[in-house]
Amino acid sequence: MKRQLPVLHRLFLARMIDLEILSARGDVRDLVVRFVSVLAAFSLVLTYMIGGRYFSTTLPRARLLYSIWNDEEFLISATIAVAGLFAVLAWNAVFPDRRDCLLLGPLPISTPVIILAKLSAMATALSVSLIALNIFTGLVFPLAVADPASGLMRALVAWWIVILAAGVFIFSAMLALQGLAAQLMTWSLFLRVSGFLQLVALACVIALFFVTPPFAATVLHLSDHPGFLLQVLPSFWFIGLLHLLNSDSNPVFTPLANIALRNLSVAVALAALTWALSYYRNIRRIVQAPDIAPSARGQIIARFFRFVAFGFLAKPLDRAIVMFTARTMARSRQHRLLLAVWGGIGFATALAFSRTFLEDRSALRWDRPNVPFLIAGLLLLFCAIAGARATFAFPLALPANWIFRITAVHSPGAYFAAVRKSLIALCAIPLWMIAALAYFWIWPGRPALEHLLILIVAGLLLVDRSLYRFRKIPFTCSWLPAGVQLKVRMGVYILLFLLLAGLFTQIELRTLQKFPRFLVFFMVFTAAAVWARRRSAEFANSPANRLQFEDVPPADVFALDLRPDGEWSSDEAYVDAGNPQAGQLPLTRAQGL
Amino acid sequence: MSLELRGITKLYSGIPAVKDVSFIARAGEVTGYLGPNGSGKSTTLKMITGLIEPSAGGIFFQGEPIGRDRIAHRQRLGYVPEEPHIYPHLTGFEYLEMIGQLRSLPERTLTAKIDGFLQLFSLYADRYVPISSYSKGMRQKVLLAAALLHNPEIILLDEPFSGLDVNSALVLRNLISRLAARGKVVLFSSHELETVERVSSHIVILHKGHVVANDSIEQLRALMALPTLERIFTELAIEQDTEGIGGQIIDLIES
Repeated sequence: MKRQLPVLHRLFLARMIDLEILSARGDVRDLVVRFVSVLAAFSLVLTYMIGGRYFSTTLPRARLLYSIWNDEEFLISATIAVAGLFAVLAWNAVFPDRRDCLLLGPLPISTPVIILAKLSAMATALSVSLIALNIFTGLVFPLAVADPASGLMRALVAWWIVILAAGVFIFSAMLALQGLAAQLMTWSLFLRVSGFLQLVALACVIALFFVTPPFAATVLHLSDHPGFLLQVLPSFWFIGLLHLLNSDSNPVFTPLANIALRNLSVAVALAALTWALSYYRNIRRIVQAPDIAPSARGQIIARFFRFVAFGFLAKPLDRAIVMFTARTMARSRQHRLLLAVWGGIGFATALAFSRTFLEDRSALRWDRPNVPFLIAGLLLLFCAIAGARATFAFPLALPANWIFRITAVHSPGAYFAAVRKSLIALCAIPLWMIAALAYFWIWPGRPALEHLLILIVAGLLLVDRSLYRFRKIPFTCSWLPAGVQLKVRMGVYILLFLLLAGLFTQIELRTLQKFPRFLVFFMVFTAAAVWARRRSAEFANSPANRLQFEDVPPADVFALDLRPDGEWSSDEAYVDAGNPQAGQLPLTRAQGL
Repeated sequence: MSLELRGITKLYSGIPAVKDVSFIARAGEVTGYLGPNGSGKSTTLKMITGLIEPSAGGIFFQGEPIGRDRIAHRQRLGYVPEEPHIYPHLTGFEYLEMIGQLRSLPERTLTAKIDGFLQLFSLYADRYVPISSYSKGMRQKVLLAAALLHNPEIILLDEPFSGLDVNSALVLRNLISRLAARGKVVLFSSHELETVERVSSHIVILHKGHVVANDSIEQLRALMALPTLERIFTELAIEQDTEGIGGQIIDLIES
């Protein structure tokens, strides 16, 4: 057992990350280091923003109390969100899968050893995530806000206990949810429901982080009668626990600490029980059960979509790509999850913009055009399209992509056109339909219709922009963890989009008041969409272009590339020698001359 | 109609996987492509499909380099790879339908053709079951159907009998002969020497990346004065003392 445990521990730890999506040149260690670095960098930024505030102030601690509470809530919320996201991402790794059962089953390894190894792997991965996230804040913040009367060391220890307890709580709650479902359902039903539960869990984690109200204001408002909010917001309970451990005599915290301790105990006990039971009971069921099979109901839905595809897509190639994309997004857990993360972020951001209406604090009328609801539609559309585009880049069953290479009997442009149709059909159209229902329901007809037209043009513009220089058939190209440059660029794009969306909706709101204004605005916006369409079509139909099936790592050495067509050369690995000006804008070509 | 390989070489980091391979696979005959593990059979077939590029040499169909019109080459090609890598989340029907659509086969005949293939390969009852639940043999049948769906002129089969039950293997053996009789170029690699001997009229034997035999089976028997393909293959491509190694493995197990 002494030799089996470390081997299994390493095996399970490595399996927490899905290796199959990486390209042949991808490195798991690199991915882990980047993940930890991102969390630690986040911690450093928070330390500067939050911790610095308390070190530099001359105000007495009593006057900073509400600010301290709110910051504590934010840091605990962030910890819960990261632990929750980790639990959602490791959803499929917490139970033995078919491969585990088939490979480990015949070996002389006892079930307790497997359980122990799995447990230790999960604990290691969770601890690394929590420590990385709190590595700077966890040292600076508790010392910065500690009450000197209680002792600095005590504040530090209390903080880390609470951080770990919050992380363990949310992870255990997710595990218990999965374990209960596994115990109460047949294995095949559980496999079908598990993906849905995972998405619900993800939505809850994101929503909790974004919509949790400020702690101080809420508690002061409800302190006499701890209400529903206090019962359902885990970050509030753990603030209570923190203050209890710091011997804070404020009566607000005692009931919260009691809820924290009670719920933590229940979650851990339930998780341990159902998880252990699942291990003992399910191994045989897993080996015997087939993987997810489409049910009769699933077949009806599949046939309906097939019928729709046949009705609306004339070309067989378009049907093949759209149906392949739809089926993959519907049936692959990883891709569904990635899409759900984007959807969750979009939904939570839209909710955050509309929070004033939900909390009844807004001076605006919700049943008349207003900026929060205008921007909400735009944000959801952006997240759906950007999320789907990001999802397209992650492969599924990479060794199976040979079939697309062998059957590539059309021009690359035909494939790119089919991919564009997939993005429109699977993301933009459903969003437009939901938006139509929502806006026509809450607003009068004309502004609802006008905003819908704007959303349609915005959707087309986003689709063309997001697919510019995308040379892949969805899910068929290997993936390399993105370089720093891309992450920075992506962050800048998102920030830029949020800024532009705010400005854009302000202008839109003004144009919705008078039709001639709207007409001018709509035409200018449509012209931008047409320009984006022409640009992406020019790129897609370039005769030198070709399909991409293997991601290329960033070059170690960059040429200075002082040619006039320099901006085209960064992607030249996937452009056959041909017309060097192909795909460039007319303006760029003119500059070259 | 013929498929010709002229001096094909493939190097991986300077090490040759296939070196100076030349032979002609003619329409109307079955060319058996034999060799021990790692001799370069699959690499050669992948180069013919265009999945990998040769480091040197050329591949010609009817005297024209296949690289001159890749799309036309892919249209006339049917390929069954060595490993049954298929998208596991699709059902058998969906996978074949997708391939038919990717090849732009007429929709009216496609469904009937797929149903026909599924019935003849005994997969019809499982047509709406995801491929992840299929056995290796079932996946192999899906791959065979996918390779033949568009009535290709060149058929490349890399270990096509792998995982098939006896009944299906007999069907496939018969099918290969009939495809050749219909004027197709059939090139198939296999370790089942008895099947190759029965089906093939032309044999190419590869050893360590080199062609060591390239002739009709009758000529090979006559030239080498050996009665069976197994004896010819053992003579040309097997260097190990098979009986001795068996004994050594037993010794190792019991040590």
